[in-house]
Amino acid sequence: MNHKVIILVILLIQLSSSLLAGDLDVSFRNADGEPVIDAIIEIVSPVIPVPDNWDYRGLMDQVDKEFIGNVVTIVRGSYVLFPNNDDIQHHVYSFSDNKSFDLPLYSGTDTEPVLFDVAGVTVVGCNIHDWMLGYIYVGDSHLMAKSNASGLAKINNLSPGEYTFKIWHERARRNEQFSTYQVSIPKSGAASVEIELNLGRDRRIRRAPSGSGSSYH
Amino acid sequence: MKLLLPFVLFIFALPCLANVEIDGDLSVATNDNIPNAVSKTDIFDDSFLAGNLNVAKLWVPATGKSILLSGHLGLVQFNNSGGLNRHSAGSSLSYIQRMGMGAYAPRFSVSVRADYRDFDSDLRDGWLYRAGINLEKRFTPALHARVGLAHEERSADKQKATPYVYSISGDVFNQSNNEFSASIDYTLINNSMISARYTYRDGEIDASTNPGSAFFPFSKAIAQDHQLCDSCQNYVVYLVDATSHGFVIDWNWPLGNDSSVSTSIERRIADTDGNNTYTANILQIKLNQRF
Repeated sequence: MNHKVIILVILLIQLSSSLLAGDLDVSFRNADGEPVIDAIIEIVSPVIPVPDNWDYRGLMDQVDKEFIGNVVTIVRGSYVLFPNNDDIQHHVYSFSDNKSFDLPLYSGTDTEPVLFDVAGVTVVGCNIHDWMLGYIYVGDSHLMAKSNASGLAKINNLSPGEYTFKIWHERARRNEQFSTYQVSIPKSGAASVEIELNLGRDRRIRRAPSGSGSSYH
Repeated sequence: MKLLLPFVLFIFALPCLANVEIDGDLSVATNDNIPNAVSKTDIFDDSFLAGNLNVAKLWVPATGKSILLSGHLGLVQFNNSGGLNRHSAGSSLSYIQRMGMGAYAPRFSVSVRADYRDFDSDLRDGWLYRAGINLEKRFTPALHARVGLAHEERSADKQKATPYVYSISGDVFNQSNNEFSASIDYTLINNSMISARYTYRDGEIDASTNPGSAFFPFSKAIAQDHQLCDSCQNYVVYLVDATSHGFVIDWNWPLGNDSSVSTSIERRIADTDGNNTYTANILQIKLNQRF
């Protein structure tokens, strides 16, 4: 067959694949109907290989005694940098099953990134400032999204077909955490799913001073 | 100079601003038994304004170990009891050990503190020294508890005190006390915090009354105390041994990440030698700010 014809056929197949793609829109609400921010969705089935040019880097900053970007999503095998752009030193650590690490007291941005090579949720804290709390969601799939202030998490350009995704939120109740949902992605347009989460109590330690003397060190 | 010296020395010990913590508070309060008296004819109430500023430098020599060097400034201004108006300045040094890592590791701390307090009533001027140990633990994001032991020494220049009776010392304001305290804090779902605190003190207290008080036979020292308030020209102040119990309930509301307002009620019950018992109730509203 003519080489030009072969190239044209390949181009047409790729073009038709990109045209035949849908989106997954997941809207998270709490029991009061309010949008839920920082809820994670991850495609668990079918298993789609991570692209070769995937950026295996993540970042969690520290400013004004808080983790900025306090919920980070990365693919297993990624490195996360913890720059300290605060005006005070911090001691970042985690005891989580999938990743335990310790960055002793430091300031500035000159710090070694940390490898996260096991899927799961890593809870990050500061050993000086007890209220600082962050989460690193390490997924097996690169097909992940985090809900915005409107409660919407979106994964674009999925090939049509049947998918299974799981969810996570820091305050989701145990029976809802990592729940899976089946969805059918259309050839074009978006498949919309609405999920109501019964959120548990905020696990963050109160930051405001109690007036009884310094209680964090 | 004596008042500012400890604070100034501390400021020069700050080589840099990293890990410097500054916090302060401003409060108004009322106390229904200012002189710690027993008899209704001697008891009077008053309100006061108080402010404190603390500047601290934190070092972390190793994981879980912290050293905190602090400087303090304080001010108390009474409405009527001018003798108790005071300025204070001091420093403290604390060593804090976390027994583990993270917010839920128990914490043990040892601290020493010295403040010079300058009263409008000169016989009360002097140093207050305090040494204490504390053990605290956070059990959940909402629940935190602390217990502590402390020893306090108050010193004053006895030459400034005029004895009431020449055969009895007028050295009322050199005092010694031991203290046990326990507190528990619980953060509610709306982020306000309820605290309960109990304090037991055993040692020496001063009580001011008109002459002829029930304290007289049991006093270790008695001095004239006419500077206590404008209508206290005849008052005398007694030094007596006492044990006291203090109960505080505090409700704290956050105003932002680094500020809060708290309302507290404190009841003190003191038993002195001679089976004299006095009580005091203190209501306070305080604004707390971390800078």
